[in-house]
Amino acid sequence: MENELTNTGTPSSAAIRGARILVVDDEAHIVQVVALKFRNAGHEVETAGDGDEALAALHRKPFDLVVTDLQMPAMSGIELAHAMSREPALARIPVLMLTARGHLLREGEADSANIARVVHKPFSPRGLLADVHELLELHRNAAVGKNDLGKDRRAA
Amino acid sequence: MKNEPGGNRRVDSEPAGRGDALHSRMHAWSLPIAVVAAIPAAAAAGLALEGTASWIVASGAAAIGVAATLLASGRAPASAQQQGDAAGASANEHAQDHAPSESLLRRAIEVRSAERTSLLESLVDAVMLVDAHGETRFANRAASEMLGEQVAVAGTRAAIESLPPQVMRAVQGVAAARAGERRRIECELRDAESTPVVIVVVSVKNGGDDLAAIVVRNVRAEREADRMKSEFVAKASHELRTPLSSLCATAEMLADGEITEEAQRAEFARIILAETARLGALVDRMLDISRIESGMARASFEQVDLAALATECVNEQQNEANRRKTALSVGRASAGAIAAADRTLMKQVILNLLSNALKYTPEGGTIRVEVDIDNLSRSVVVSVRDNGLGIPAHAVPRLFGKFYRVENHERVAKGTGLGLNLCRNIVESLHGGQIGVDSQVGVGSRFWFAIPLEHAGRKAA
Repeated sequence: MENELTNTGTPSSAAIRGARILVVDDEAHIVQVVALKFRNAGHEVETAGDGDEALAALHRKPFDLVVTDLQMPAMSGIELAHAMSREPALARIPVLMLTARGHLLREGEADSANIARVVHKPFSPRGLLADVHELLELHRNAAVGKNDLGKDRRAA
Repeated sequence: MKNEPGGNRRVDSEPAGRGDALHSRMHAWSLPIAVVAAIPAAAAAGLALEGTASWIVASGAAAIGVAATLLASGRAPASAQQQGDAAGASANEHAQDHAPSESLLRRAIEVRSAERTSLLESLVDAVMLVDAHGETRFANRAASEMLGEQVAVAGTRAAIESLPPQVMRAVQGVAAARAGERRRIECELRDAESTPVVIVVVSVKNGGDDLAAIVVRNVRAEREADRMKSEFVAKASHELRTPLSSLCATAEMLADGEITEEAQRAEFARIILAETARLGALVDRMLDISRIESGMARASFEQVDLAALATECVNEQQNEANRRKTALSVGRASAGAIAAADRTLMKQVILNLLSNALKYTPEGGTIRVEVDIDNLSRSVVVSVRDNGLGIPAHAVPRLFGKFYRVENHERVAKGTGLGLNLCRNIVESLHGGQIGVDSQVGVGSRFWFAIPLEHAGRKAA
């Protein structure tokens, strides 16, 4: 419900297209629906059914954002995020966590990983897309800021 | 005897600090004080705690009162006859001609006291009687067991001090009030296990004395049941939320007109149907289990040939087995494997075990069903053997619980996590049988269940 209210198609979110998003969930139907939603919005989407598959995909090519389920067999969404944070090439990619859990992440659980947002199931694909756009925007701004800083340092 | 017969006159108990607990208990009990409770065995077996407490009060003065009155007056009053109890009746026989002998009446009191004492001692709840200062008059065996031997020592404050401070406040509160006034306290004992208890404190009047009865009940089992219930609700809501998510997301996409291609629209409608079916199956299983657990489900028993039924199930699953390139067959089917059982439920169990075997046996595997008669246990044993993934030993104890799924199995196939729990309920609760598994990771599993040849007390016609 919240998602629907916040997502009325802001101009900035509409402007973002062509992001590379990895969708990870052991629920095939969720993956299918979410992937279509993102593709319809003009993004490039890859999917994975578990954490191992996701890491393999992340090693294969670059991604701007990872949307992952929390509770998955073998490797949980949290474990995936932590595995990403240990690899410099993947540590900066923001992770959006989907969870059917009734409660929020335990305190500190998200700290060492780049878990940028948690969305509870059942969710609205519309709202999820708005969240994704917001995160991409934030990340892009942060990246630009950091790059500028880097340039300055090099110049000095 | 240390107490003089004298109506309701209270005889103070001797200072009992040194005496052993049992002696103190018995001593306190030999006094003609009012709280002699006739507590029905049912109360000990788990009737309402407050019911126990009111029994103590209601039957208090009446218990020995009759005989005590006789002693005081030296004659049997008419009411004794109406009591119709042993003490009253025996006293009354003598009252026909002359006053009853004191020793006879005293004996009647002793018999009565011993009866009440053994009743109180047999209670599972701790029962104590204290005065307004919190000094113990009586404590039963359960009180000693729950709070320590020292609480039974009459004339000390050991009992009240072993309880949380609000109990003493309650004692003071009710002691000042009229008889029967009560307070109920839910708290934890200050023992190593922090035992959760419900304590009822009831005002008791005895002559000029303001006393309080304290009844303490250990409610750990109830709390544990509550905890398991909330855990079940939490797990169930998680399981329900997953198909709901797919339904919600798919429906929103359709409603938003995002699905433009005809083929895609059909695919999305199929997702909705599949997730609806999954949700329905989950709800059905939950209801089936809860109906069995609450005792509402009844099996309709008939003579069932389990070998024939197993063959029927194997035939039904043959197509699915072929699709998975798995060899499925009936390996051994003993003749006369006939048990008194509910045919539909038995079929549900066998199909469930077969479906699990098919799900968790990789392509090219073999599944064999065997039906044997075990003469030793007088039962029919149905086994489903596979050479599939196998189950790690640590998972076996939880396998038949609710919503438990073996880690590595989750990625292989979907399941409600309730199937085996339902099987166990059907086999063990409804048929008095047994269900189990022998398994080795990487080698395979043998799921089996045994049904008595004749169900106890339910012989099929």
